[in-house]
Formats: sequence, structure tokens, C-alpha cells
Amino acid sequence: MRMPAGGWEFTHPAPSPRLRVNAGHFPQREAGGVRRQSRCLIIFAALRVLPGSASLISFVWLTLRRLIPSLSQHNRMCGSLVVLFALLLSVLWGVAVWLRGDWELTADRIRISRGIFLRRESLISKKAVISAHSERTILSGIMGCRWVTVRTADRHPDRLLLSEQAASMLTAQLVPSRPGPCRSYRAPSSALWLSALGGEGFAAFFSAVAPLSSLLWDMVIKPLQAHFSLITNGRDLALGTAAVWGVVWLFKILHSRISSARANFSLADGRLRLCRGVISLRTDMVYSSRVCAVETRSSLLGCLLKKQSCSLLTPGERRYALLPTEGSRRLRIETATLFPHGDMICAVRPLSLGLSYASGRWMACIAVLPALSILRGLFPALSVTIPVAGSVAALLLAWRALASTVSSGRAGLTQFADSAEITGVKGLSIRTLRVFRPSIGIIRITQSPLSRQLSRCSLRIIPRGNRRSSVKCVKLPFERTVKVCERMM
Amino acid sequence: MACAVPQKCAPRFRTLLRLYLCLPLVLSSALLVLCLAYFSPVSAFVSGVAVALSIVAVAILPGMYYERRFYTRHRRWLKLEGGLFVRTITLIPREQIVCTRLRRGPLERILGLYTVVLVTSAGPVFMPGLLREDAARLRELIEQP
Repeated sequence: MRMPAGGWEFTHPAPSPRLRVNAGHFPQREAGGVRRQSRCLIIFAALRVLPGSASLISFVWLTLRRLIPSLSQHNRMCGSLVVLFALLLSVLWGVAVWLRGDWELTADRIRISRGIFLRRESLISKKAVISAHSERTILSGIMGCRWVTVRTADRHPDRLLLSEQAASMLTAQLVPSRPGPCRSYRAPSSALWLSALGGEGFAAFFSAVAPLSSLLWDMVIKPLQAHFSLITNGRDLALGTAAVWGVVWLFKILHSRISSARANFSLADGRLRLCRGVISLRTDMVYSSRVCAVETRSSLLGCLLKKQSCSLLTPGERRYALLPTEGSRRLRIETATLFPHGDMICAVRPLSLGLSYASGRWMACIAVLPALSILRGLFPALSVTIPVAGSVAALLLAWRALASTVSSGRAGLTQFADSAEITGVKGLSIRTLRVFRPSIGIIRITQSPLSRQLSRCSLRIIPRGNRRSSVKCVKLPFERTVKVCERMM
Repeated sequence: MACAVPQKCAPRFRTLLRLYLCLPLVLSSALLVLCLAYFSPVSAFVSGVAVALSIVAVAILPGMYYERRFYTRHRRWLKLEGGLFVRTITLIPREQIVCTRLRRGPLERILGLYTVVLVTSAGPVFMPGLLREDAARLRELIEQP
């Protein structure tokens, strides 16, 4: 089925296996027997432990050779034996993993048990399942099997390697959907490149490279230069390190581009089907009713270009990339189609705008400079690291302050009939978190002594099961914020 | 859980705070005095001021902290207020409280105090300095359907 890039399509389910929404053709199993995972698990488990077992047997062999000198005469034969033993040990381990792991699907729950020495058994009620994730990597694709991950509110999900048919059956049983019209979206190629080349990527890259390469210069090359006359041009080494980091960053861009390629989603019968990837194909089936928040994210550059990306948060600190970097208007429409807004009840905006909104952050940025001179006086040995790390810190703080200044017009709290929306700066990006009312975990209002004098406060909303994904908004009027928050409860 | 009157912790909580505060303050001021005596020849005045400040802090800060800390039970949510310098108001919806726990350290056991830990879906929230009856009643009210 061809879908228009970046647009909605109201169609019936597609016959293609990747875009099929109604995978629930399989009859409901009343009672299932105990099943094993795919035999390919032996190969995967063996490959995972092969380096460890090889090094262990090599160590044993080297020790024996030292103790029994006559063994040195049979080097070739013993070397082959070492390789064989390593392979045998890995395969035995793989067989043990396969034998000791099984799963059982019944009408209302799934039981997964695994572990050789330390047994772990999970009993998951079907009602507790938030999503089922299936992934086909190159190797598993060749072997005709798929990884299936059953996600609940727990942070550590259970993973199974199953044959294609069993994986489809399990996914359909865990997140069943009835036939009906579905809505589909496919990301345009330009949006994927934009998301891969996000402004924060640059900032993260420079913040990692600059202090590390200067620290390398201070701590390694300078002392080595004193002892070894061969190292004359140590700065080349620092440049080489930076170049390696650059290549790594380029690979990261390429990886994120490939992994988010063919990003599309479809919604049918309250189940979201999110697919992406080229080399490894990932499909998530998510209950839309169990989504607790929708997060819209925009970098500083994205804000200037009016581009945003969107992801869904579910309990268990799990984030699903929903839409790649798209135009703000289009993203608003797409999100509103999936999760329609209730009526707006009220809004709270910050007491100050523009530069005064981010005054604290600008002050922190300026305060770095005197701190640098003090630190240079205290640690003369780190003559390169301190200025470089300080300037990077100042750059990042300035970036954050600029993002705060730009976002001041949009910052604030908006209460809707079904959700609360908070906009603020987190890290280096501007984020809007729309938390559905039943999913508001904790609301925290903070007042510093100065804020108390000015009768303003900062507000943080923590969604259910997503402690790290909260967004904070500052300089809100205190009395009104407390009233709105109490009403939201 | 329909009690909209702000409630304070037990008065003995001040003593607990003083004990909690005493040890680090005494240790840090002793360290400061030793450092100054070692590095600087004119340390008597500074050391004296540091020790005096520590004593004043131990005397005043727990009382201030105690006065500013209280909790309010509403029908659908719980409101906790506290903070010595930075005032914090935490609103917890009742349906997000997964379970409650009681915690008692050695000093709390000596003073007959309890800490109620509200395990919510967004992380744990601590309510220290409660008497046995208050803690039990709070847990009972929270766990009511």
C-alpha cells in the first residue's frame, strides 16, 4: 500500500505484513501449552558468550603451558583444541539458555521463564501489557525469526526470540485489534534528515570532544613529551582524537537516519502501530489508552525553522518516537488527530518575558568567566583543559539561556478538560509535555527566597511512571499556579 | 481523606532534626577549625565565628524547618509543604499512591517517631516526623477505597 508522505490516509487495513494493522486473525487461544523459544536462540546465546569463553580457555591454556613446558611442542594441535573448546562451551551455554527458557500463553496472561542459575519467571496479565515490540534484525531475518519484547510498566521488559509465525501470533494475542478503518502516516525523507542533524547533536558533539581532547593534551601528551623525545607534535594526536570523535558522530547521524527511515504509524481500534528502520525492522503495537503523555520537542535551530518532533511516553520510562522533525503546524494537526484536545479551561503564563524570563540562566552564563580565572590560579597544571572546558560550559549555558529566552512566549501551563500542558526548557531543547489528567503523577511547586518576595514560583509536572521526563516552567505567578494545580487534581 | 486542615509533624521532630544536624555541623566546624589552625596564623577569630554559627544553626534551623513543614489531606489529593529556604509544595493525586511504607531509623525509634513513605507511580515521597497514631491514621485514610 502506498501512502502519501507526511499525510493522513483513511483506508482499510493493508495486506502488507509490515503495515498490517489487524494482525489479530489468529484465533484466541483458550489455553496454551508451554513453549520454547526459537532454536536460533542457541546461536544468539552462543555468539554472545563466545568472546568470554574464548578468553577463559585461552587463559587456562596459557597457564597450563607455563606449568607444563612439554605442551609447547604441540602448539598447533593445542591451538585448534582451544578454538574447539571455546566453540563447544559457547554452544553448550546456548543450548542451556534455550532449554531453560520457555513461555506459556493462556487466555488472560503470559508466563515467561528464563535463566540458567538464577531463574526468573514473569507472570504478566494481558491487562498489564502496554505494548508489544517486535524486531527483525539482519541475522534474525536470515534465520526466519523475530525478537518480541513484552512491555509493561516495569522498566525491564521481557524479550523472546520466536519464529515469524509465533511472533505474529503472540503480538496479535497481546495487543489484539479488530478489522476497521485505519489512519496511516509516513514521514517524508527530509524530516528524517532534519531529525538526524538536530542542533543538539552539534552541541553534544563539541561539549564531548573539546574537553576530552584538551584533557588528553594536559594529562597524557605533555607528560609523555617530557620523557619521550619521539613525541614532538602531540597536538596532532589531539586533532586525531577530535577526528575520530567526528567520524563517530557522523556514524551516529547515519545510524539515526537509517533506524528512523520508513517511519510510519497507523491507528486502528485504539491501537497504535509504529514501524521504522531499514536494516532492522522494528514494529511497536501500543495501546493508545495507556499513553500517559505526549512530548513535543524542538531544538533552538528547530525553533527558528519552526520544526518540532513528537514522542509518546508510557509508564516504565518508555518513550516511542511518534513523529520525526516536522513543521509545527503539521505536527499539531497530526497529534490532535491522534489525541484530540479537550476544551481549554485556563492558562498560566510567566510573569516576565524575553531576556528577563531567562535572567537567571544568563547570569549563570556570565558567572563562568570569573570562576575560570579562579580555577586557573588553583590548578596551573590544567592550563589547556580549564579554559576549553570553561568555554564549552559557557557555550552550553548560553545556548540554554537563549533557548529559554526564545521559548518565553510559549512557556507556561495550560489546563484542558482532559489534560495539562506545560512548556519549558529541558536540557538544551524546548519541550511541551501534554500529560493526560489520570496520568499526572506528582505536581511540584518550588519557591526560592527571591521568588517568594516577588510572589512567583516554578512548576514541575511529573507524569506517571516517567520520573525523568518531567518539564519545569519558571517564573509563574504563585497564587494562580497553586489554584490551577489544585483544580487539576 | 477529607481533612483540609494543614497538619504539622510531631514536636519531637525538632529534636530529631537537631540530632541529624548536629553531627555533620560539629564535624565540619571541627574540620574548619583544624584547617584554619594549620594554614592560617590568625585563625582564632574565624574559628570562633564558625563554631558560634554552627551552634546558632543547630539551635534555630530545625525549628524553622519544623514550622514550615505541614501536610494537608484532601478528598482526592494530598498536599505537602516544606523547605527551609526553598519552599516546596508537592501535590499527589490519591489514585497515584501505589502503596505506603513505614520507616524507622535508630534515632526515630528512640524518639518514637515514624516516617511514612508514599510510593507513588512517579517516585517515592517521604513524610517524616509522625507519631505512631498519626502515621497509622494517615496510612489508613490513604488506603481507603
